[in-house]
Amino acid sequence: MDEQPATENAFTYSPPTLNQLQSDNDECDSIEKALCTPCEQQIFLSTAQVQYGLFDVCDKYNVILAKEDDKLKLFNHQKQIDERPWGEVGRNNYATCIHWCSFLDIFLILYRFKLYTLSLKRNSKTSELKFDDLKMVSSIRVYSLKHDTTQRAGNATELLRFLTTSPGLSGYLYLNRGYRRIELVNTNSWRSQRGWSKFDLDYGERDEIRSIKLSYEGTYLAMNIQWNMIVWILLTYEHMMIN
Amino acid sequence: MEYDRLDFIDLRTHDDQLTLLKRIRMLEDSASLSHQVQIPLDEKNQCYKVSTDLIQAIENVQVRLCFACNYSYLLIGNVMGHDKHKQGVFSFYKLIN
Repeated sequence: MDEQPATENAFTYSPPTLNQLQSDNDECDSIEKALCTPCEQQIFLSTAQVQYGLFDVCDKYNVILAKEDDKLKLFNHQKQIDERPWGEVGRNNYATCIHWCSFLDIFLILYRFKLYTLSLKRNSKTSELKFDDLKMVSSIRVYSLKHDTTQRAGNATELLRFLTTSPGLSGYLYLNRGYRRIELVNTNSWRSQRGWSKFDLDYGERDEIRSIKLSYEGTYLAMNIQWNMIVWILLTYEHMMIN
Repeated sequence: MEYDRLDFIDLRTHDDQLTLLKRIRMLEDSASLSHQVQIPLDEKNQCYKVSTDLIQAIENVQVRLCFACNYSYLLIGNVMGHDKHKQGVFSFYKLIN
């Protein structure tokens, strides 16, 4: 990682106090111990929203895109370099996933109801990177899974949850709808090419497909699964008397 | 009747059926590391204790992570402080080959 002096700018945030740092020593120690390597660089943020994981890295331009409060913020490896409103995307339309798509050269920002693309541009005079256009992908929208191959009695809207792409699978993305359906979307037409309900993938009604991640080569898809099993608890007469 | 939750990672081949390739059981403390983890198929990656059979996370630390600098660094987003004094921080850790 290229070392550059951290300079003050309009986006600089204060590091935590000594007391705060000391109280967090255990956590930092745990991370360093598990990774077997010390931390080399830190960027302090203005909020604690990083805990929701709404950020991703673009190695081509060596920047990080993160969502904090009502803003999208762009960082290099030392400091914040730009910010913009996260878009007039509607009531309760929270961001759910941020992903750098290398073959499109854009960030994909998934909201509960819509997908947006966010491009970057370089200032020709200063060569600094800035945000460019935030555009909605109109063909990607939420729908009820009553139209799915899996018939459901309910009519709930299935929110857009996660997406993933891979440099090795150019022209496609995988999309997670409502923790219950995976779709392969063509990024040229922005149309769904194929889809699988969680039942197609041998999961049960109570199971949830969470974060999805394509391997770098694009040959396999890793899916975090929450498998919710019914546990029958038999209370004996003695237990009921005690409680 | 109650529900008990199991967390695991399924690796599925990119094909017509998303064929199940492998199922990796996650320990309870590992859930916080699930987001955006690129899972290697070999056992050489030691930085976050990932193998093809087991994922053992950094215990009791709520972090979000992704690779940076062409897989030479791990970028971890976590929260420092407590109560009203919480603050997010990005930290770069160099990966050991």
